[in-house]
Amino acid sequence: MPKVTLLYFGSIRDITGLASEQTVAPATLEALHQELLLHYPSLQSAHYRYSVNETLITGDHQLADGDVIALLPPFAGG
Amino acid sequence: MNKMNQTIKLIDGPIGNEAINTEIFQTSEDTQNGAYALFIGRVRADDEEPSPVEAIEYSAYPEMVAIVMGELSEELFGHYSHLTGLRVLHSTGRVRAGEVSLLVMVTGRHRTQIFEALSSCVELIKDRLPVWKKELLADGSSRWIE
Repeated sequence: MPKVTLLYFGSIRDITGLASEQTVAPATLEALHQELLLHYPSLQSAHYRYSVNETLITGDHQLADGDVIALLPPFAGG
Repeated sequence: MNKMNQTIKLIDGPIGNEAINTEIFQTSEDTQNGAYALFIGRVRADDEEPSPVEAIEYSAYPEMVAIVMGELSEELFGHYSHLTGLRVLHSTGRVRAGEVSLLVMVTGRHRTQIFEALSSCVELIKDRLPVWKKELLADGSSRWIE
């Protein structure tokens, strides 16, 4: 079970009430996603993507010790 | 590919006149490039319901901003062969209506492609940079822009 850091940005931070947390994650991003939905039910209706170690991830992804996983709502720079 | 000369800086709060002047006037030491194009983005006091926008609160994922800006630069320098430089300042934190939150300056030996590169760069920043903004309205309410 990998130890990972979760980062929350923008509107997602309003749902989690945290900027970041350390956790022991399941082996895959999809399994972690399911755990987060149980822990923070309001994520069900939120729009966001995942990055792992600053790279956007589409689909599932194997997690490793030390990974930094971010929940990124739609970007709105400028 | 032309040599990539790009920087991005995240500034805490508004981008003040001094920072803008520094970006513009440091070009006086540049004897190789003849063309500079500059975009300045300012927070608007949009008349929203129930009250006007007083400020925008920006937040960013700095580590990813640096990586994504590197990727955007590679695309821009690859596409615009006359582009020689790209400098970006972006605010984080609170920026009040009327204050500057974004500065983009592109450089080329000649003006060819420079305006187009500037426009593309601003669009890519809005689309791909991991930055978020929350409008703070005059009545004390707020909302995320997504």
